[in-house]
Amino acid sequence: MTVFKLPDLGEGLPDAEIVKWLVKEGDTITEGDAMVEMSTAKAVVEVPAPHTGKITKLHGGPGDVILTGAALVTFQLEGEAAPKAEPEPQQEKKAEPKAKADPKPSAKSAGGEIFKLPDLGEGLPDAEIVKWLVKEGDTITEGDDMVEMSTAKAVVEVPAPFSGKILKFYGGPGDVILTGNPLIEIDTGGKSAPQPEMKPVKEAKGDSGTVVGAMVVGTGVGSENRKGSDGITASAAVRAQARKLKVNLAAIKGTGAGGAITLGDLKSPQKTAAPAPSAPIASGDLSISPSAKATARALEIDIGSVLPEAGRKVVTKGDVLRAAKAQMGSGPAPLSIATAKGVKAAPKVRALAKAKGVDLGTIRPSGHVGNITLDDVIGAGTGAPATAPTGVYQRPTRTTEASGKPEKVVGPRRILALGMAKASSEVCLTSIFDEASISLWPKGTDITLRIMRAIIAAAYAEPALNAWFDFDAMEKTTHPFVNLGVAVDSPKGLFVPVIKGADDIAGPGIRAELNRLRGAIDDGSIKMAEMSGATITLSNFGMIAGRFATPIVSPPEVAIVGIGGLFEKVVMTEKSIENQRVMPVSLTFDHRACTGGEAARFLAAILADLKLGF
Amino acid sequence: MSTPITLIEAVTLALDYELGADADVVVFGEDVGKNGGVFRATDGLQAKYGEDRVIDTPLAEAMIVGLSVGMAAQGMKPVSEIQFMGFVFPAMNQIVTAASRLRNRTRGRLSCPMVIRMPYGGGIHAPEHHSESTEAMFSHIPGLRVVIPSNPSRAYGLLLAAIRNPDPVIFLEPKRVYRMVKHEIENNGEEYPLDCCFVDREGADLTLVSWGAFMHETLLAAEELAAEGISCEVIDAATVYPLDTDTIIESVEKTGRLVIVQEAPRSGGVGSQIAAEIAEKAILSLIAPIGLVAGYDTIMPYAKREHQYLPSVQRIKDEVNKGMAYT
Amino acid sequence: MKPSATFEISHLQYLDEKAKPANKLPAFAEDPKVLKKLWQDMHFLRELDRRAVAMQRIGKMRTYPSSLGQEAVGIGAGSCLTEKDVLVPYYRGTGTMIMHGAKPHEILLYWGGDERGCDYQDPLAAEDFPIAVPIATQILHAAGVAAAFKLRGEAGRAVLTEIGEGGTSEGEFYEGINAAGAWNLPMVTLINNNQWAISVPPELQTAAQTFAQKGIAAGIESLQVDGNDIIAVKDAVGVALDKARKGGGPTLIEAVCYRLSDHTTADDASRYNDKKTHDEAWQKEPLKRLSEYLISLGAVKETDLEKFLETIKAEVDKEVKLYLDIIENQPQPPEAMFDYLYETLPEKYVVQRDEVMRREGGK
Repeated sequence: MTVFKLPDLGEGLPDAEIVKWLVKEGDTITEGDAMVEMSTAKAVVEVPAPHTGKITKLHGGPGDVILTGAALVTFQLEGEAAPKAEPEPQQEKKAEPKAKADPKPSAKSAGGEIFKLPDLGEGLPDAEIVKWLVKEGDTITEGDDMVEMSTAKAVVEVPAPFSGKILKFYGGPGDVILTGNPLIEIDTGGKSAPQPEMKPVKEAKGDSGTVVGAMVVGTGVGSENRKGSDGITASAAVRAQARKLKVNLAAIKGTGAGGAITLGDLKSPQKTAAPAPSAPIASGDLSISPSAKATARALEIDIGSVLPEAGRKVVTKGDVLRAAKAQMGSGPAPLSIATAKGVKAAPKVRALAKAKGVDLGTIRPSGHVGNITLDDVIGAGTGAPATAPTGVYQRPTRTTEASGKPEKVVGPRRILALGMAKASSEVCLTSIFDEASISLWPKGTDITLRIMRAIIAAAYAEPALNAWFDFDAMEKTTHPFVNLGVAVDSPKGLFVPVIKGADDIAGPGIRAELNRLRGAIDDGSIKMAEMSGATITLSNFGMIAGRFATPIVSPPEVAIVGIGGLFEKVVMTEKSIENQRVMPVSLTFDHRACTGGEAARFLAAILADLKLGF
Repeated sequence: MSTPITLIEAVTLALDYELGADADVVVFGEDVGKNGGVFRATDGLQAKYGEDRVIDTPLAEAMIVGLSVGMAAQGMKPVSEIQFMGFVFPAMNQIVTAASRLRNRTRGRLSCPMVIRMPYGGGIHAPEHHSESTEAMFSHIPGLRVVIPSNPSRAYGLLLAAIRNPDPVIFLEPKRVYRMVKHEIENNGEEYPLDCCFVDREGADLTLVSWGAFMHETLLAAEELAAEGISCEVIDAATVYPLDTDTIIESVEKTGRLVIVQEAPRSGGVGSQIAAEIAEKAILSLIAPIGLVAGYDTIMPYAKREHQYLPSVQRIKDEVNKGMAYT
Repeated sequence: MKPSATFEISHLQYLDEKAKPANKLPAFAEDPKVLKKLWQDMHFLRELDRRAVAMQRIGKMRTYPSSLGQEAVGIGAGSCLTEKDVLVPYYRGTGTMIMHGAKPHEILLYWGGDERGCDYQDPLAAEDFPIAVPIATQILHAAGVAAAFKLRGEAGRAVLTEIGEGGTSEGEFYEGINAAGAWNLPMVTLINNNQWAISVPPELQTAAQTFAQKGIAAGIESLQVDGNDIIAVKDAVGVALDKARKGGGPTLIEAVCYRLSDHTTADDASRYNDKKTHDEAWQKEPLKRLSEYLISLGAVKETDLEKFLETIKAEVDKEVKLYLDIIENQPQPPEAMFDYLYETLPEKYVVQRDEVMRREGGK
C-alpha cells in the first residue's frame, strides 16, 4: 500500500482541515482527479489524487485537521496487495503546535451523564482546555466554574452543567475538544432531565393496528413543559392561551410539576407573592467568577447589581453580558451594520443603507409606521446627527472585546506577521509621495477602476517596477503583462487577491473581477492560485483613513502603490488660487531592484493618468 | 401522572374523556367500533360506551359527513372518522356545501358542532392515496377550522377543544408521528386553545414555522443549527385555519428571517399563505427573503421514493443557511 | 336457478285522470273540509309561484324554481307533518315548506338573495333544514337528523325529505337511503318525478323502470304514487311518516307528475320538451283534478272561484309586499356576511369585517 501524506499546501502552512471528501473508501481514482477539499488558513484548496489506484483508507473526515506531512489517504496501487488492518501512523508534532483536534472520544463512557462541549460562541468549531478548576472525583454543583477553555477569540469559563460527582474528564490542558464532543462526565444519580430520544426503534411486539405501510415506533418520551428565556416554566400551549387571554404569566404561580404554570392555573390563577420571578439574593451568598469581574469592569457594569440565573450561586460572565444588554436597551442604539434587527425598513431601504455604509440603528425613522424611509437614508450623514446629547461626553462602547489575556495568533494574522517580518528584513524599502489632481474627473467615476488603470499605464511606461526580483539568484524578471494584487481588508484579516492579466481586461471587467474575488474571500472559497502571482500590488487604505504611507513591498515584487483618502486642497497656480480635488499617492519600492529614477518615472506616469478627465 | 402515551393513544384518551363527559358525543366511521379503528384510534371505546355511541358505518364517506351535518344540526356532537385523508374527497361536497355553511345560511339558527378526524401525511411507505397532505384545500373554506396536532399533548388538548367547539373542525392527525414520541398526559379534560400558534423553541436569528409531522424534523434541524451557532425560534402553527399570524409576525419582527416547512406540495399551500401575510404585514422587519421548504409540485411518489419527496432535516438546514447568508 | 330476491313496486292512485275515485278513499278524504283546505293551499302555492316568476322577469327576484303542476306533491306531503317532525327540503320544496312553518316571504327572501330567508321564525320550522341547492346532499342530512332521533331514543318523531328523480342518480342519494335502511331510521324520502331533470327525461336518467325501486337496493319499503292525485300523495306520505314515528323504519315514495313550468326562471323548456306531451299533461294536472272532484262533490262552486282566487291573490300579495319591503328597505348590514361564519368571529377576521363596514357604510 502507498500512503499519501498531506503536502505543504502553500507558504509553509503547518496543517489543513478537511472540508469535504470528493471520493470514498473503495473508489478507484485517476491521478490528477480532484480528491478532497481542504481549508488552509487562507483559502479552500482542492487536492488532486497523486496516484491512480484504489482508495483503501481516508485518514479523517470533514472537520478533521491534518498536520502537514501526516497521512491523508492510503492507496492500493496496481500490483500491490490489499492492505491488512494497520495502526494509524503517528502524527508529527511541530515546533509551533496548532491545536490537535481529536475527532472521536478515545475512551468509553464511565456510566454517568456526559456533558458535551457547547458552542462557546458564534459557531466556533472547537476549544482548547486551558485549565481544569476541579479534579476527577470532586463533587461539583451546577453552575460552579469548572474549566477554562480557550477559543479562537477568548478564554472562557465553562460552568458545571449539572451537580454530581465528577467521573471523568475527556481531555487535559492543551487538548482541543470539538464542539459537540464529550467534555466531562458527571454522576448525577439519574436526576437530570433526559433529552427526548428521537431515534426511532421498532416495537418488538404489540398491536399497531390494521395499518397500511410501515410506521416508525419510537421509545422517546417528550414533555410539553419548557423553561423560557423569561425564567418561567410553561408549555407552549399555556403561553399561547395566556397570550390569547392577555394574562401576564409572571404574575401567576405555577402549580404544575417543577413550578410549571398549567392551563388550570390560567383559569383560576394564584398570584405570585412578588411580581418579579426571582427574589434578590444577599450578595454575601454569591461568588463571582473572574471572567465575570473582568467583563463587568470592561463594560462598566456594577458587578454588585448583577444577579445569576435563577438557582445558581455563581455570577458568570454570561450573567454580566445579559445585564449589560438589558441596560443597553434604554441607551443609544447598538452599533451595527445596515441590517439592524428590530428596525423597520423596507428591503430597498436596507440595501441603500448598506451600500452607503450607513448604520440604520442611528437613523431616526420618519415613516408612517415608524419605519426608516429612503429619504431618511439618503439624508443620513448630512446635517445634524440624529442623536445630539447636550454636552455630555460618552465614550464609544466596545464593539469587540479586549480580553486582556494572551491569545494565540493564528490563521491569516499569523501569515501576516511572518510575511511582513520576512519582507521587512530583506527588502530595501524606499518611498516617494505625491498628489494627483483629479478635479477633472466626471461625477460618478469609479475611483478604484481609475487607480488600477493608472497603475497599469505606469507599468507600461516604466516596466522596471512591474517586475520580480530574486536576490539570491541575482535575477530580475520584467513582466510584459500586469497581474495586479489588490489588498483587501476583511474581518478574517488581510487578503491580497490578484487580478491576472489586468492589462488585458477592459475597464468594467476589472471591476467585475475584483468584485468576484472579494465575494470569494467573504464566503471562504478563494483559491491559493487566486492570491499568488502578483507583479505589482495596490493598497487603497484611503477608503478608511490616511493620506500617505509606506506600505511594505512583498517579495518577489519590487513595488507597491498606496492610495490615501481624497481631499480638497487650495492650490496656487501661476495665475490664480484654486480649489482642487486631490488623491494622495505613495509609492514604495525595493531599492535593490529599482533606481530612484525608475520609481519617479513610474510615479509620474501614475499621476499623469490619474489627472485625465476621461 | 400516568404512563407516557403516543399521539394515537392521546386521541383515544380524549375521545374516551369526552364520550364520558358529554352524552351528545357520538363517534362513528368505518371500522371504528369493533375493530377499534385501523390505527386503533377508537380502541376499546365501543366496548365501553356501546354501539349507540361508537358506531361502525357503511363504506360511504359522503354519508359519514352528511350524517354528521344532520346530527350536529340536531345538537349532537358527532366526531366522525375518515379513514385516510386520501378518501375524504367524496365527502368534500358535504364539507364545503353543508358543514361549513349551515350556520351562515340559517343566520345562526342551525349550526354544525362536528369534528371530522382523519390521518394524513406521508412517510409510512403506504400504498398510493394514503399519503395525502391537502390541508390547504380545507384552509380555503370559510366556516371551517383546520387543526393539526404535532405531539401527544396537543392531540389530547386540541381534540377536546375541537369537540367542544360550536363550529365544524377538520382534525388532521399526522400519522407518521402517531407512535413516534410519548408524553405523560394527565387525563383532566383540559382543552388547549384553538386559533393559536405554539412557540416550541425561542431563538434570535431566524423563525421556523411548521405543523404536523414535520415539527419533528424542524425541531431536530433547530437543535443541529444551534450547535452550529444559529439560534432558531420554532413555531407550531397548530390551527392552520384560521391561522394565528400575529405570533409569527411577532417572532419575525424579532429575528428578521422566516423559513416555513410543510410536507404538502409547494404551490397554493398554507405556507404560501403565511408567506403572503408576512410579506403584507412584516416586510419591513425582514432582512432575508422568506424561505419555503415544501413537498415538490408533483404527485407524491410511491413508497419507494417517498423519502426523496418529503422535506428532510438537511433541506431545512440548507434553507436556514440561505436565510442566514443575508446579514 | 331460483330467485334469491324478487320485488314488486305498487302504484297508488285514488282519483283517476277524470277526477273519479278509482279506489276506496282513505278516511281523511271522506271529509270535504280537509280536501278543500288542501285545494286552497295548492292554489296559494300556484299563485305564489306565479308572482315569483313574474317578479323575476322584472328584476325583483333572482332565479326561482316554480312548482307548477307539482303542487300536490309538496302540499300533500307537507300536510302530513307534525310539529315534532323535521323537514329537510330540496330546492323545489316550496309547497312542503310552507306547510311546515316556513313563511312565503321567507322563501322569497332566500331566492331573492337574502340569507334571512333561511332563518325560519315559526317554531314549527325551528329544526328544519334550509333549501338545499346541491343535489342530493339533503338525503344524508335527513338521515343524520333521523339518526339523532334514534340514538337519543326520541319516539314519535320522523324526518321527511324530498328529491327530484334526477337527483336519485347522485351517489349521496343512495348513501342516504342505504344508511336509512341499515340503521332503520325514521325517515321518509319523497321523490318528485316530474319527468324532467332540467332537460333530461327519465329514460336517459336510468335504466330502472321506476325510481321507487331504487329503495329495494337499500332494502327499504318502496312505492310509487300518482303525483297528480293529492289524496294518494297525502295517504302514502302520511302512512309512511306514521310508520317511521312508531319505529317502523324508512320508506321511499316516488310521486309521478309533470313539470309544467321551466326548470327555473333561467331555463326555456320549449327548447327540449314535446308540445303534445306538455299539453296532455295540463289535462292531468293536480289542481284541475281536485277542483273537478270538489266541484262534483259540491264542496266548491264555480261561481265562487273568481272571488276565491281574488282572496288568494291578496294573501300572496301581502307576502310579496313583505318580502319587497324587507329586501329593499331593510337590507342586512354589510358586516352581516361575517357575523354568522363562526359562533365567535376569529380575531384575525375582525379586521376584514371592519374594512367592509368602513367601505360599505355599515353600522
